[in-house]
Amino acid sequence: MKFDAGRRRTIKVIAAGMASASLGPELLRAPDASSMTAPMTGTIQSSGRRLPVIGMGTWQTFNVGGDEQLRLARTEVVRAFVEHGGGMVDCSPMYGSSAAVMGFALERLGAAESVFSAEKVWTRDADQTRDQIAGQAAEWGLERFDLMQVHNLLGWEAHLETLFEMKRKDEIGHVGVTTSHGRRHAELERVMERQPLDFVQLTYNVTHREAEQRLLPLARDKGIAVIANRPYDGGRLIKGIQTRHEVPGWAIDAFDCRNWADFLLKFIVSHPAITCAIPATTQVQHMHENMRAGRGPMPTPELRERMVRHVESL
Amino acid sequence: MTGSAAGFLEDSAGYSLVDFVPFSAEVYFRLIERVGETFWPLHALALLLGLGSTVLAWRVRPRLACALLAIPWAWTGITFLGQRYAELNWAGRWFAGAFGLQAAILLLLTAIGAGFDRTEGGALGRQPRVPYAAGLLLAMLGVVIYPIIGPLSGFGPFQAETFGIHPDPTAVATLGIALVALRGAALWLAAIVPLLWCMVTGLTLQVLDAAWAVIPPAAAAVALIFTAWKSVRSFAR
Repeated sequence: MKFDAGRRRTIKVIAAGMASASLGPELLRAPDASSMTAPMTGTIQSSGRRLPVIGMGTWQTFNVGGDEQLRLARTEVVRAFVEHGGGMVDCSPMYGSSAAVMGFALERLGAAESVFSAEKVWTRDADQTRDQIAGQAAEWGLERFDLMQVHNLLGWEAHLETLFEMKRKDEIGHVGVTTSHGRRHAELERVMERQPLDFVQLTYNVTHREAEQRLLPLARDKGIAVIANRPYDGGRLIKGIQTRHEVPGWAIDAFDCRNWADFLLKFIVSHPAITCAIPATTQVQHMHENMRAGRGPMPTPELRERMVRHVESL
Repeated sequence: MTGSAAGFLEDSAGYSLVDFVPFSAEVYFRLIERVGETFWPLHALALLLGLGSTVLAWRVRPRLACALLAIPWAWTGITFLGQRYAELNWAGRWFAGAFGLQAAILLLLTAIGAGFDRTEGGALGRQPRVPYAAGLLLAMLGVVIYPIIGPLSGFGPFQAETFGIHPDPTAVATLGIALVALRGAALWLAAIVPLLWCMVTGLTLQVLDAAWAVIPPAAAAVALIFTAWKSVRSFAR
Protein backbone atom coordinates (compact mmCIF):
# COMPACT_ATOMS: atom_id res chain seq x y z
CA MET A 1 0.00 0.00 0.00
CA LYS A 2 1.30 3.44 -0.92
CA PHE A 3 0.68 6.32 1.42
CA ASP A 4 0.02 9.08 -1.06
CA ALA A 5 -0.62 12.68 -0.01
CA GLY A 6 -2.80 13.46 -3.04
CA ARG A 7 -4.94 10.40 -2.55
CA ARG A 8 -5.02 11.20 1.11
CA ARG A 9 -6.54 14.60 0.44
CA THR A 10 -9.15 13.04 -1.83
CA ILE A 11 -10.03 10.46 0.77
CA LYS A 12 -10.17 13.24 3.33
CA VAL A 13 -12.79 15.11 1.32
CA ILE A 14 -14.82 11.95 0.75
CA ALA A 15 -14.53 11.00 4.40
CA ALA A 16 -15.61 14.45 5.52
CA GLY A 17 -18.66 14.16 3.28
CA MET A 18 -19.46 10.74 4.69
CA ALA A 19 -19.04 12.09 8.16
CA SER A 20 -21.41 14.97 7.47
CA ALA A 21 -24.00 12.54 6.21
CA SER A 22 -23.75 10.01 8.95
CA LEU A 23 -22.49 11.52 12.18
CA GLY A 24 -24.44 13.11 14.96
CA PRO A 25 -23.81 16.67 16.17
CA GLU A 26 -21.40 15.58 18.87
CA LEU A 27 -19.17 13.78 16.41
CA LEU A 28 -19.57 16.39 13.73
CA ARG A 29 -17.02 18.69 15.33
CA ALA A 30 -15.27 19.27 12.07
CA PRO A 31 -11.66 20.34 12.23
CA ASP A 32 -11.56 24.06 12.98
CA ALA A 33 -9.55 26.64 11.04
CA SER A 34 -6.30 25.94 12.80
CA SER A 35 -6.65 22.21 12.26
CA MET A 36 -6.96 22.80 8.55
CA THR A 37 -3.41 24.09 8.41
CA ALA A 38 -0.99 21.55 7.05
CA PRO A 39 0.02 18.90 9.55
CA MET A 40 3.65 18.80 10.55
CA THR A 41 5.42 15.88 8.92
CA GLY A 42 8.50 13.86 9.74
CA THR A 43 10.81 12.33 7.18
CA ILE A 44 11.65 8.67 6.80
CA GLN A 45 15.31 9.22 6.07
CA SER A 46 15.88 5.96 4.24
CA SER A 47 13.12 6.47 1.68
CA GLY A 48 12.60 10.21 1.76
CA ARG A 49 8.88 9.79 2.32
CA ARG A 50 7.10 12.06 4.76
CA LEU A 51 4.60 11.13 7.45
CA PRO A 52 2.29 13.25 9.63
CA VAL A 53 3.92 13.45 13.05
CA ILE A 54 0.79 12.14 14.75
CA GLY A 55 -0.23 8.59 13.95
CA MET A 56 -2.31 6.17 15.94
CA GLY A 57 -1.72 3.09 18.04
CA THR A 58 -4.19 0.24 18.49
CA TRP A 59 -3.08 -1.55 21.69
CA GLN A 60 -6.18 -2.28 23.80
CA THR A 61 -8.26 0.37 22.04
CA PHE A 62 -9.03 -1.60 18.84
CA ASN A 63 -9.18 -5.05 20.40
CA VAL A 64 -12.97 -5.38 20.44
CA GLY A 65 -13.34 -8.86 18.90
CA GLY A 66 -16.43 -9.54 16.84
CA ASP A 67 -18.59 -6.99 18.67
CA GLU A 68 -20.33 -5.17 15.78
CA GLN A 69 -21.37 -2.21 17.93
CA LEU A 70 -17.84 -1.56 19.12
CA ARG A 71 -16.39 -2.18 15.66
CA LEU A 72 -18.63 0.56 14.28
CA ALA A 73 -17.59 2.87 17.12
CA ARG A 74 -13.92 2.27 16.32
CA THR A 75 -14.65 2.91 12.65
CA GLU A 76 -15.71 6.44 13.63
CA VAL A 77 -12.36 6.90 15.37
CA VAL A 78 -10.58 5.89 12.16
CA ARG A 79 -12.89 8.19 10.20
CA ALA A 80 -11.76 11.12 12.38
CA PHE A 81 -8.13 10.08 11.83
CA VAL A 82 -8.68 10.07 8.07
CA GLU A 83 -10.48 13.42 8.20
CA HIS A 84 -7.31 14.90 9.59
CA GLY A 85 -5.23 13.39 6.83
CA GLY A 86 -4.41 9.98 8.29
CA GLY A 87 -0.87 8.74 8.76
CA MET A 88 0.76 5.84 10.55
CA VAL A 89 -1.42 3.15 12.14
CA ASP A 90 0.55 0.72 14.29
CA CYS A 91 -0.61 -2.77 15.24
CA SER A 92 0.73 -6.18 16.30
CA PRO A 93 -0.32 -9.83 16.45
CA MET A 94 -0.08 -9.38 20.22
CA TYR A 95 -3.03 -6.96 20.15
CA GLY A 96 -5.74 -9.62 19.77
CA SER A 97 -8.38 -8.64 17.23
CA SER A 98 -7.01 -5.11 16.63
CA ALA A 99 -5.78 -5.90 13.11
CA ALA A 100 -9.13 -7.39 12.12
CA VAL A 101 -10.98 -4.41 13.56
CA MET A 102 -8.69 -2.01 11.70
CA GLY A 103 -9.36 -4.00 8.52
CA PHE A 104 -13.09 -3.73 9.17
CA ALA A 105 -12.84 0.05 9.59
CA LEU A 106 -10.64 0.62 6.56
CA GLU A 107 -12.91 -1.44 4.34
CA ARG A 108 -16.02 0.41 5.53
CA LEU A 109 -14.38 3.77 4.98
CA GLY A 110 -12.60 2.79 1.80
CA ALA A 111 -9.63 4.45 3.43
CA ALA A 112 -6.81 1.94 3.11
CA GLU A 113 -4.77 4.42 1.08
CA SER A 114 -5.00 6.99 3.88
CA VAL A 115 -2.91 5.04 6.32
CA PHE A 116 0.73 4.14 6.55
CA SER A 117 0.33 0.57 7.75
CA ALA A 118 2.79 -0.51 10.43
CA GLU A 119 2.67 -4.10 11.68
CA LYS A 120 4.90 -6.38 13.70
CA VAL A 121 6.23 -9.89 13.81
CA TRP A 122 5.74 -11.34 17.28
CA THR A 123 7.02 -14.88 17.55
CA ARG A 124 10.35 -16.46 18.43
CA ASP A 125 9.81 -19.05 15.68
CA ALA A 126 11.88 -17.88 12.71
CA ASP A 127 9.94 -20.16 10.38
CA GLN A 128 6.74 -18.27 11.17
CA THR A 129 7.82 -14.82 9.97
CA ARG A 130 6.17 -14.88 6.56
CA ASP A 131 3.09 -16.79 7.74
CA GLN A 132 2.45 -14.32 10.54
CA ILE A 133 2.85 -11.36 8.20
CA ALA A 134 0.46 -12.95 5.69
CA GLY A 135 -2.04 -13.59 8.46
CA GLN A 136 -1.92 -9.99 9.65
CA ALA A 137 -2.18 -8.70 6.08
CA ALA A 138 -5.35 -10.75 5.62
CA GLU A 139 -6.77 -9.23 8.82
CA TRP A 140 -6.02 -5.70 7.62
CA GLY A 141 -7.27 -6.49 4.11
CA LEU A 142 -3.94 -5.38 2.64
CA GLU A 143 -1.47 -6.99 0.28
CA ARG A 144 1.57 -5.16 1.56
CA PHE A 145 2.57 -3.36 4.74
CA ASP A 146 4.36 -0.03 4.61
CA LEU A 147 6.40 -1.01 7.65
CA MET A 148 7.09 -4.36 9.27
CA GLN A 149 8.77 -4.37 12.67
CA VAL A 150 10.16 -7.02 15.00
CA HIS A 151 8.05 -6.72 18.13
CA ASN A 152 10.08 -6.09 21.27
CA LEU A 153 13.20 -7.44 19.57
CA LEU A 154 11.83 -10.97 19.91
CA GLY A 155 13.96 -13.25 17.72
CA TRP A 156 15.19 -10.22 15.82
CA GLU A 157 18.21 -11.82 14.17
CA ALA A 158 16.25 -14.34 12.13
CA HIS A 159 13.25 -12.10 11.54
CA LEU A 160 15.34 -9.19 10.25
CA GLU A 161 16.99 -11.44 7.70
CA THR A 162 13.58 -12.37 6.32
CA LEU A 163 12.26 -8.81 6.51
CA PHE A 164 15.21 -7.34 4.60
CA GLU A 165 14.71 -10.01 1.98
CA MET A 166 11.03 -9.09 1.74
CA LYS A 167 11.93 -5.42 1.45
CA ARG A 168 14.33 -6.18 -1.41
CA LYS A 169 11.45 -7.90 -3.21
CA ASP A 170 9.17 -4.93 -2.44
CA GLU A 171 6.86 -7.16 -0.39
CA ILE A 172 7.08 -4.66 2.47
CA GLY A 173 7.96 -0.99 2.42
CA HIS A 174 10.25 -0.50 5.40
CA VAL A 175 11.86 -2.54 8.17
CA GLY A 176 12.07 -1.74 11.86
CA VAL A 177 12.37 -3.07 15.39
CA THR A 178 10.46 -2.07 18.49
CA THR A 179 10.79 -1.92 22.21
CA SER A 180 8.62 -0.34 24.88
CA HIS A 181 8.53 0.60 28.53
CA GLY A 182 12.20 1.62 28.31
CA ARG A 183 13.29 -2.00 28.12
CA ARG A 184 16.32 -3.57 26.38
CA HIS A 185 17.77 -0.24 25.29
CA ALA A 186 21.31 -1.58 25.26
CA GLU A 187 20.34 -4.37 22.88
CA LEU A 188 18.32 -1.95 20.75
CA GLU A 189 21.36 0.29 20.49
CA ARG A 190 23.48 -2.61 19.23
CA VAL A 191 20.85 -3.49 16.62
CA MET A 192 20.63 0.11 15.48
CA GLU A 193 24.40 0.28 15.09
CA ARG A 194 24.71 -2.91 13.06
CA GLN A 195 21.52 -3.27 11.02
CA PRO A 196 20.28 -1.08 8.12
CA LEU A 197 16.99 -0.25 9.83
CA ASP A 198 14.46 2.18 8.43
CA PHE A 199 12.59 2.57 11.73
CA VAL A 200 12.90 2.01 15.43
CA GLN A 201 10.00 2.25 17.83
CA LEU A 202 10.55 3.05 21.49
CA THR A 203 8.86 4.63 24.47
CA TYR A 204 9.38 8.36 24.69
CA ASN A 205 7.28 10.94 26.51
CA VAL A 206 7.72 13.83 28.89
CA THR A 207 8.13 11.48 31.86
CA HIS A 208 10.14 8.76 30.08
CA ARG A 209 13.09 10.44 28.39
CA GLU A 210 15.81 7.80 28.73
CA ALA A 211 15.95 7.52 24.92
CA GLU A 212 17.30 11.10 24.75
CA GLN A 213 20.64 9.94 26.12
CA ARG A 214 21.82 7.56 23.41
CA LEU A 215 19.07 6.15 21.21
CA LEU A 216 17.64 9.35 19.73
CA PRO A 217 21.07 10.84 18.89
CA LEU A 218 22.08 7.48 17.39
CA ALA A 219 18.90 7.37 15.29
CA ARG A 220 19.73 10.82 13.88
CA ASP A 221 23.29 9.78 13.12
CA LYS A 222 22.21 6.58 11.39
CA GLY A 223 19.25 8.12 9.56
CA ILE A 224 16.70 5.89 11.30
CA ALA A 225 13.13 7.14 11.67
CA VAL A 226 11.77 6.98 15.22
CA ILE A 227 8.24 6.11 16.33
CA ALA A 228 7.41 7.19 19.89
CA ASN A 229 5.03 4.74 21.57
CA ARG A 230 3.17 5.17 24.86
CA PRO A 231 3.02 8.98 24.48
CA TYR A 232 0.50 9.11 27.34
CA ASP A 233 2.24 6.31 29.27
CA GLY A 234 -0.62 3.94 28.56
CA GLY A 235 -3.19 6.65 29.37
CA ARG A 236 -2.07 7.04 32.97
CA LEU A 237 -0.08 10.20 32.29
CA ILE A 238 -2.79 12.25 30.62
CA LYS A 239 -5.60 10.97 32.86
CA GLY A 240 -3.61 11.77 35.96
CA ILE A 241 -2.51 15.20 34.86
CA GLN A 242 -5.66 16.60 33.23
CA THR A 243 -7.92 15.78 36.17
CA ARG A 244 -5.82 17.81 38.58
CA HIS A 245 -4.10 20.53 36.60
CA GLU A 246 -4.77 23.21 34.01
CA VAL A 247 -2.51 23.65 31.02
CA PRO A 248 0.01 26.37 32.01
CA GLY A 249 -0.66 29.81 30.60
CA TRP A 250 2.88 30.21 29.25
CA ALA A 251 2.34 27.14 27.05
CA ILE A 252 -0.86 28.62 25.66
CA ASP A 253 0.96 31.87 24.87
CA ALA A 254 4.09 30.25 23.47
CA PHE A 255 2.72 27.56 21.14
CA ASP A 256 -1.05 27.79 21.24
CA CYS A 257 -1.31 24.81 23.58
CA ARG A 258 -5.02 24.15 24.02
CA ASN A 259 -5.10 21.05 26.19
CA TRP A 260 -2.89 18.38 27.75
CA ALA A 261 -2.97 16.28 24.59
CA ASP A 262 -1.41 19.26 22.81
CA PHE A 263 1.16 19.69 25.57
CA LEU A 264 2.21 16.05 25.80
CA LEU A 265 2.22 15.26 22.08
CA LYS A 266 3.90 18.47 20.96
CA PHE A 267 6.65 17.78 23.48
CA ILE A 268 7.32 14.44 21.81
CA VAL A 269 7.08 15.36 18.14
CA SER A 270 9.12 18.55 18.57
CA HIS A 271 12.18 16.44 19.34
CA PRO A 272 14.22 16.54 16.13
CA ALA A 273 14.84 12.79 16.10
CA ILE A 274 11.18 11.80 16.42
CA THR A 275 9.35 10.99 13.20
CA CYS A 276 5.92 10.36 14.69
CA ALA A 277 4.06 9.55 17.88
CA ILE A 278 1.28 6.97 18.03
CA PRO A 279 -1.32 7.79 20.70
CA ALA A 280 -4.22 5.34 20.99
CA THR A 281 -7.81 6.22 21.76
CA THR A 282 -11.35 4.87 21.62
CA GLN A 283 -12.92 8.35 21.48
CA VAL A 284 -13.56 10.43 18.36
CA GLN A 285 -13.12 13.64 20.32
CA HIS A 286 -9.76 12.49 21.64
CA MET A 287 -8.70 11.60 18.10
CA HIS A 288 -9.49 15.17 17.03
CA GLU A 289 -7.41 16.48 19.93
CA ASN A 290 -4.53 14.15 19.15
CA MET A 291 -4.46 15.09 15.48
CA ARG A 292 -4.67 18.81 16.17
CA ALA A 293 -1.49 18.46 18.21
CA GLY A 294 0.36 17.74 14.98
CA ARG A 295 -0.46 21.18 13.60
CA GLY A 296 0.49 24.74 14.42
CA PRO A 297 3.51 26.06 16.29
CA MET A 298 5.78 23.67 18.15
CA PRO A 299 7.78 24.28 21.32
CA THR A 300 11.39 25.39 21.00
CA PRO A 301 14.22 23.48 22.74
CA GLU A 302 14.09 26.01 25.60
CA LEU A 303 10.34 25.54 25.96
CA ARG A 304 10.76 21.77 25.91
CA GLU A 305 13.07 22.03 28.91
CA ARG A 306 10.49 24.19 30.64
CA MET A 307 7.79 21.61 29.85
CA VAL A 308 9.85 18.91 31.53
CA ARG A 309 10.42 21.05 34.62
CA HIS A 310 6.74 21.93 34.76
CA VAL A 311 5.56 18.32 34.63
CA GLU A 312 8.16 17.31 37.21
CA SER A 313 6.85 20.02 39.51
CA LEU A 314 3.25 18.76 39.40
CA MET B 1 3.37 -23.61 23.55
CA THR B 2 3.08 -21.34 20.52
CA GLY B 3 5.91 -19.05 19.57
CA SER B 4 3.85 -16.01 20.50
CA ALA B 5 2.89 -17.35 23.90
CA ALA B 6 6.44 -18.34 24.68
CA GLY B 7 7.59 -14.98 23.43
CA PHE B 8 5.23 -13.19 25.72
CA LEU B 9 6.38 -15.13 28.74
CA GLU B 10 10.03 -14.63 27.86
CA ASP B 11 9.43 -11.00 27.23
CA SER B 12 7.26 -10.10 30.18
CA ALA B 13 9.80 -8.68 32.62
CA GLY B 14 9.40 -4.98 33.20
CA TYR B 15 5.70 -4.73 32.36
CA SER B 16 3.09 -3.66 34.84
CA LEU B 17 -0.11 -5.60 35.46
CA VAL B 18 -2.12 -3.42 33.10
CA ASP B 19 0.14 -4.41 30.22
CA PHE B 20 -1.00 -8.03 30.49
CA VAL B 21 -4.64 -7.19 29.77
CA PRO B 22 -4.97 -6.45 26.03
CA PHE B 23 -8.54 -5.11 26.14
CA SER B 24 -10.42 -2.30 27.84
CA ALA B 25 -13.09 -2.48 30.53
CA GLU B 26 -15.69 -1.41 27.97
CA VAL B 27 -14.84 -4.38 25.75
CA TYR B 28 -14.79 -6.94 28.56
CA PHE B 29 -18.11 -5.90 30.04
CA ARG B 30 -19.64 -5.82 26.56
CA LEU B 31 -18.40 -9.41 26.17
CA ILE B 32 -20.16 -10.34 29.41
CA GLU B 33 -23.30 -8.66 28.05
CA ARG B 34 -23.14 -10.23 24.59
CA VAL B 35 -22.80 -13.70 26.07
CA GLY B 36 -25.68 -12.96 28.43
CA GLU B 37 -27.87 -11.80 25.53
CA THR B 38 -26.90 -14.67 23.26
CA PHE B 39 -27.77 -17.45 25.67
CA TRP B 40 -30.84 -15.97 27.37
CA PRO B 41 -32.98 -17.70 28.73
CA LEU B 42 -30.49 -20.49 29.34
CA HIS B 43 -29.68 -18.68 32.57
CA ALA B 44 -32.70 -20.25 34.30
CA LEU B 45 -31.51 -23.74 33.43
CA ALA B 46 -27.98 -22.91 34.52
CA LEU B 47 -29.30 -21.56 37.81
CA LEU B 48 -31.23 -24.78 38.38
CA LEU B 49 -28.10 -26.76 37.56
CA GLY B 50 -26.09 -24.76 40.09
CA LEU B 51 -28.71 -25.09 42.81
CA GLY B 52 -29.19 -28.76 41.99
CA SER B 53 -25.47 -29.49 42.23
CA THR B 54 -25.28 -27.70 45.56
CA VAL B 55 -28.25 -29.56 47.00
CA LEU B 56 -26.94 -32.91 45.75
CA ALA B 57 -23.57 -32.26 47.33
CA TRP B 58 -25.26 -31.18 50.54
CA ARG B 59 -27.62 -34.18 50.66
CA VAL B 60 -24.77 -36.68 50.23
CA ARG B 61 -25.07 -37.30 46.47
CA PRO B 62 -21.57 -35.99 45.70
CA ARG B 63 -20.92 -38.16 42.66
CA LEU B 64 -23.92 -36.80 40.78
CA ALA B 65 -23.09 -33.26 41.87
CA CYS B 66 -19.60 -33.68 40.47
CA ALA B 67 -20.91 -35.03 37.16
CA LEU B 68 -23.32 -32.12 36.76
CA LEU B 69 -20.55 -29.59 37.44
CA ALA B 70 -18.65 -30.79 34.37
CA ILE B 71 -21.37 -29.35 32.10
CA PRO B 72 -20.92 -25.63 32.94
CA TRP B 73 -17.14 -25.96 32.79
CA ALA B 74 -17.23 -27.43 29.31
CA TRP B 75 -19.90 -24.94 28.20
CA THR B 76 -18.21 -21.78 29.46
CA GLY B 77 -14.84 -23.03 28.25
CA ILE B 78 -16.18 -23.37 24.73
CA THR B 79 -18.74 -20.58 24.41
CA PHE B 80 -17.20 -17.84 26.54
CA LEU B 81 -13.46 -18.44 26.50
CA GLY B 82 -12.84 -20.40 23.32
CA GLN B 83 -15.29 -18.73 20.96
CA ARG B 84 -15.28 -15.14 22.25
CA TYR B 85 -12.65 -14.28 24.87
CA ALA B 86 -9.92 -15.85 22.71
CA GLU B 87 -10.63 -13.18 20.07
CA LEU B 88 -9.40 -10.60 22.56
CA ASN B 89 -6.55 -12.40 24.24
CA TRP B 90 -4.16 -14.99 22.82
CA ALA B 91 -4.21 -16.64 26.26
CA GLY B 92 -7.94 -17.30 25.82
CA ARG B 93 -7.21 -20.56 24.01
CA TRP B 94 -5.18 -21.74 26.99
CA PHE B 95 -7.88 -20.69 29.43
CA ALA B 96 -10.47 -22.53 27.33
CA GLY B 97 -8.25 -25.60 27.44
CA ALA B 98 -7.98 -25.31 31.22
CA PHE B 99 -11.78 -25.19 31.50
CA GLY B 100 -12.01 -28.28 29.31
CA LEU B 101 -9.45 -29.96 31.53
CA GLN B 102 -11.54 -29.11 34.59
CA ALA B 103 -14.59 -30.69 32.99
CA ALA B 104 -12.51 -33.78 32.26
CA ILE B 105 -11.23 -33.91 35.86
CA LEU B 106 -14.77 -33.74 37.23
CA LEU B 107 -15.92 -36.51 34.89
CA LEU B 108 -12.87 -38.60 35.75
CA LEU B 109 -13.57 -38.26 39.47
CA THR B 110 -17.18 -39.23 38.80
CA ALA B 111 -16.10 -42.28 36.83
CA ILE B 112 -13.53 -43.43 39.37
CA GLY B 113 -15.87 -42.81 42.28
CA ALA B 114 -13.01 -42.15 44.69
CA GLY B 115 -12.51 -39.13 46.92
CA PHE B 116 -16.18 -38.35 47.53
CA ASP B 117 -17.26 -37.17 50.93
CA ARG B 118 -20.16 -39.35 52.02
CA THR B 119 -20.10 -38.42 55.68
CA GLU B 120 -23.65 -38.95 56.92
CA GLY B 121 -25.90 -36.20 58.25
CA GLY B 122 -25.99 -33.71 55.40
CA ALA B 123 -23.35 -31.05 55.04
CA LEU B 124 -24.28 -29.08 58.15
CA GLY B 125 -24.66 -32.23 60.22
CA ARG B 126 -21.08 -33.29 59.55
CA GLN B 127 -18.09 -32.77 61.77
CA PRO B 128 -16.28 -30.45 61.61
CA ARG B 129 -19.06 -28.22 60.34
CA VAL B 130 -17.05 -25.18 59.33
CA PRO B 131 -15.56 -26.40 55.98
CA TYR B 132 -18.98 -27.63 54.85
CA ALA B 133 -20.66 -24.39 55.87
CA ALA B 134 -17.96 -22.42 54.06
CA GLY B 135 -18.49 -24.60 50.99
CA LEU B 136 -22.22 -23.99 50.97
CA LEU B 137 -21.68 -20.25 51.36
CA LEU B 138 -19.24 -20.19 48.44
CA ALA B 139 -21.69 -22.19 46.33
CA MET B 140 -24.46 -19.71 47.15
CA LEU B 141 -22.11 -16.82 46.37
CA GLY B 142 -21.46 -18.28 42.92
CA VAL B 143 -24.99 -19.35 42.08
CA VAL B 144 -27.27 -16.85 43.84
CA ILE B 145 -25.27 -13.72 44.74
CA TYR B 146 -23.07 -13.38 41.66
CA PRO B 147 -25.88 -12.54 39.22
CA ILE B 148 -26.87 -9.48 41.23
CA ILE B 149 -23.36 -8.05 41.65
CA GLY B 150 -23.21 -6.50 38.16
CA PRO B 151 -26.65 -4.89 38.24
CA LEU B 152 -26.01 -3.59 41.76
CA SER B 153 -22.80 -2.02 40.45
CA GLY B 154 -24.70 -0.12 37.78
CA PHE B 155 -24.43 -2.56 34.88
CA GLY B 156 -27.30 -3.77 32.71
CA PRO B 157 -29.35 -6.93 33.31
CA PHE B 158 -27.50 -8.94 30.65
CA GLN B 159 -24.22 -8.06 32.35
CA ALA B 160 -25.33 -10.16 35.31
CA GLU B 161 -22.72 -12.91 35.55
CA THR B 162 -24.42 -16.27 35.87
CA PHE B 163 -23.22 -19.70 36.94
CA GLY B 164 -22.88 -21.91 33.88
CA ILE B 165 -22.97 -18.96 31.47
CA HIS B 166 -19.97 -16.93 32.66
CA PRO B 167 -16.69 -18.31 34.03
CA ASP B 168 -16.30 -16.38 37.30
CA PRO B 169 -19.45 -17.56 39.13
CA THR B 170 -18.86 -21.04 37.72
CA ALA B 171 -15.41 -21.15 39.32
CA VAL B 172 -16.54 -19.68 42.66
CA ALA B 173 -19.52 -22.04 42.97
CA THR B 174 -17.38 -25.03 41.99
CA LEU B 175 -14.92 -24.27 44.78
CA GLY B 176 -17.81 -24.33 47.24
CA ILE B 177 -19.47 -27.47 45.89
CA ALA B 178 -16.15 -29.30 45.75
CA LEU B 179 -15.50 -28.36 49.37
CA VAL B 180 -18.75 -30.06 50.35
CA ALA B 181 -18.60 -33.02 47.97
CA LEU B 182 -14.96 -34.06 47.93
CA ARG B 183 -12.11 -34.81 50.26
CA GLY B 184 -8.38 -35.51 50.16
CA ALA B 185 -6.52 -35.57 46.85
CA ALA B 186 -9.76 -35.48 44.85
CA LEU B 187 -10.73 -32.20 46.50
CA TRP B 188 -7.36 -30.65 45.66
CA LEU B 189 -7.53 -31.96 42.11
CA ALA B 190 -10.97 -30.45 41.56
CA ALA B 191 -9.93 -27.13 43.11
CA ILE B 192 -6.74 -26.34 41.19
CA VAL B 193 -8.23 -24.89 37.99
CA PRO B 194 -10.98 -22.88 39.76
CA LEU B 195 -8.39 -21.48 42.19
CA LEU B 196 -6.10 -20.42 39.36
CA TRP B 197 -8.96 -18.91 37.39
CA CYS B 198 -10.09 -16.90 40.42
CA MET B 199 -6.61 -15.38 40.63
CA VAL B 200 -6.45 -14.65 36.89
CA THR B 201 -9.88 -13.06 36.76
CA GLY B 202 -9.28 -11.13 39.98
CA LEU B 203 -6.16 -9.52 38.51
CA THR B 204 -7.98 -8.81 35.25
CA LEU B 205 -10.91 -7.18 37.04
CA GLN B 206 -8.49 -5.15 39.14
CA VAL B 207 -6.90 -3.75 35.97
CA LEU B 208 -10.38 -3.03 34.62
CA ASP B 209 -11.31 -1.21 37.85
CA ALA B 210 -14.28 -3.48 38.56
CA ALA B 211 -15.72 -2.83 42.01
CA TRP B 212 -16.00 -6.57 42.69
CA ALA B 213 -12.44 -7.44 41.64
CA VAL B 214 -11.63 -8.70 45.13
CA ILE B 215 -14.42 -11.29 45.20
CA PRO B 216 -12.87 -14.12 43.12
CA PRO B 217 -9.47 -14.04 44.88
CA ALA B 218 -11.20 -13.72 48.26
CA ALA B 219 -13.36 -16.74 47.41
CA ALA B 220 -10.23 -18.60 46.34
CA ALA B 221 -8.51 -17.72 49.62
CA VAL B 222 -11.48 -18.97 51.65
CA ALA B 223 -11.63 -22.17 49.58
CA LEU B 224 -7.91 -22.70 49.98
CA ILE B 225 -8.03 -22.29 53.75
CA PHE B 226 -10.93 -24.69 54.24
CA THR B 227 -9.64 -27.20 51.71
CA ALA B 228 -6.42 -27.32 53.70
CA TRP B 229 -8.37 -27.51 56.98
CA LYS B 230 -10.50 -30.39 55.70
CA SER B 231 -7.43 -32.23 54.42
CA VAL B 232 -5.58 -31.85 57.70
CA ARG B 233 -8.59 -33.06 59.71
CA SER B 234 -9.05 -36.04 57.40
CA PHE B 235 -5.38 -36.91 57.72
CA ALA B 236 -5.51 -36.57 61.52
CA ARG B 237 -8.27 -39.17 61.66
